[in-house]
Amino acid sequence: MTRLERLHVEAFRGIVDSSLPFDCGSIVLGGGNGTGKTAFVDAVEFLYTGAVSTLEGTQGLSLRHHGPHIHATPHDTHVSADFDQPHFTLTRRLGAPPDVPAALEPHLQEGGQLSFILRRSQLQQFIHAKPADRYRSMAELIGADSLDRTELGLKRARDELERSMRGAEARLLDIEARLAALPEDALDERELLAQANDSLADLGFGEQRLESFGDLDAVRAAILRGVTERRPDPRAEARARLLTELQRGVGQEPLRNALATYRELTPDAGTGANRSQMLDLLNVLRRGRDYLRETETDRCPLCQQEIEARALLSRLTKRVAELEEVSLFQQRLDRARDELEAVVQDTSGRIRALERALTEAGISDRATGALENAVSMLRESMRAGAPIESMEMAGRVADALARWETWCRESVAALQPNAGAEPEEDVRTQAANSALALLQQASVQRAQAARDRQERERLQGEWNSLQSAIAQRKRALELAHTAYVTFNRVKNEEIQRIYDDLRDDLARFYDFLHPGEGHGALSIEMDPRKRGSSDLRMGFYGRGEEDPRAFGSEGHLDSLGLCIFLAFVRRFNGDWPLLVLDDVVPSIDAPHKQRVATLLFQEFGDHQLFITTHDARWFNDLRRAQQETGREQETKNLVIDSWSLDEGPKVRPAA
Amino acid sequence: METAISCRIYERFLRELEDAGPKGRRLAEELGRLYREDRIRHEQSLVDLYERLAESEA
Repeated sequence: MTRLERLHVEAFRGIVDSSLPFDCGSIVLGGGNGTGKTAFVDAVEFLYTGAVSTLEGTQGLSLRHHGPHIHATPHDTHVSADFDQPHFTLTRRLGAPPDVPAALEPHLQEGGQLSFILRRSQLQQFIHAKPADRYRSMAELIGADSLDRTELGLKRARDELERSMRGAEARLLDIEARLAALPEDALDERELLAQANDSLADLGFGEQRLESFGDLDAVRAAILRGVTERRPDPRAEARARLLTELQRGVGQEPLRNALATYRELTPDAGTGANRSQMLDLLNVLRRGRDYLRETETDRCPLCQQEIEARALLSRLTKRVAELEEVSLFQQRLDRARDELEAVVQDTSGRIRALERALTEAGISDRATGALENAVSMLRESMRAGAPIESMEMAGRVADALARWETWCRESVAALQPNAGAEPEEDVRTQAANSALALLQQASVQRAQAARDRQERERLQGEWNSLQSAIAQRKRALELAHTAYVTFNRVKNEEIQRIYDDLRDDLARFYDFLHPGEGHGALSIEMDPRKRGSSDLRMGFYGRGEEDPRAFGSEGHLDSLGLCIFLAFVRRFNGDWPLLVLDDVVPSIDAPHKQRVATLLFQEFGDHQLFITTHDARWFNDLRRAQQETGREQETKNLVIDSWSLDEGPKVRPAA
Repeated sequence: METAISCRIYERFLRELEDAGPKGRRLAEELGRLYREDRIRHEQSLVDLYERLAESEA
């Protein structure tokens, strides 16, 4: 078995340049606090593992910064060792893997995997820790911390897959809800077109048909054109013209006034012959009167007989006045007749226009025809100078006019649009607006239907993909769960088996150190319900399965921790020679320390022990134990006299 | 740092997976490969591995 001959340390921790001569045996190294004992332990650990556990896992500490001597650089730092069987020298520097001879490789690899160094801090951590922390301390001793990291990685991978699957399932539910919210029976384009065409027809745009939604713009434009370019409607226009004619009338007020004036004057008018004779007489009488006035004669101009001129002039004046009255009436009658003729002329023209409008509008009526006949007859009678007849005709015209006016009022009311109804043009514009709105709505419906369809297809596609993904993730999760659960079970069972295997050695070592002190069976148990949890149990004066901290002193607990470590070494390190104990018994009392010293050399005397202590008494106990067990020849007892920053520890053989 | 104990536990873990049938054998092979490549603690590598195996099962 490969053994350590010599350890040489340069520029490492508190050591400047020192060596420990193992000579394939053991070393007990005594020295006060801060003299560099632990630096040699760190050097051994660094040699085998490339690390120093006390410089790891604590923020602010690192091997790179705190491994080299304070006056040295990482490049200066190195630890080397001479080995026998095979005889090789190994040197390890900071930051670089050592150049390991092939023959030495198994030894170095084994040293890297085994726990053979125990520091007091580990004892404290182990005994006083919570179950999980104790497990971690145990895991360090076993070297099982990598198992925990693996277990954690397996668990996190499983949890990640489970999260992912739950997320996908939630997304699936969301998609199902969104699919349910989409209209089930979204109309297709053909149905939308049919609906739109039906509605267009209802609005009076049946001639406009959408064959496809590509026709939308064309149909929209056609409807707009229909509104802006008003198409001629002869019937409507004729009715409009008739209405205008009816509202304009036939000049009925002037006709009625002219008829009234004429009929008022006519009865007093004599015949036309009488009226002519009276005017002739008037002219004669006027001339006679004027003669008498001008000549002031008292003789008759015709017979030259004497006349009573004054009385004659008076009679003449009176008679002229009477005849002038008649003349004035005649003038009024003539004007009335002329006016009536003019009005009748105008009325005749209007009646003809009205007749044309009636004919164009396709309306026939009797009132207008009767009026026209009466007016024609009136005109004839007036032309014939037959006042009595014309007066009779005027009466017939007045009656016909009254009937016509009645008919006209009714016709105007019938032809005029209802007060509540909108003009036809407005109705059409409104219909066009409705049609345009309909087209817009159809376009929107089509777009919405297309969007709904696309959304449905997209969601359905995503749903299908998710279904497939979930099925795959379930399979992946099963694999992850199987891996994690299997690893967790195997690890716990194996570690528990280790604990069980330790039990006999642990009990034997502890019994040796504490004979007759009331303790019972010792055990370490994995808690299967928890990942990485170890409970320590010990009987005490008949009470079983108690936490040792309940009854043990600090010294008892430290020695319990030491026993556990030694049981580990005994159980797992096989023929690995090196066992390093760094100041592990300060809290243990003197009698028990003696027992520890004996136990070490009795049980592990065949190992290369490297034991450090600041306790001079225990140093002597260890020397005595060497003698008692016959190990004094192969053990070097060294002491560190002093330490300085520039020179490091001064090591010499103990006296 | 792997120890003799941890090596033994990994070996038993992979063996038990192998013994669980064809799926387990494939899983053990792939996890063994990750272990040798020192990626068995890497969560994403594990997730990728499980997903790949699940996909190949489909």
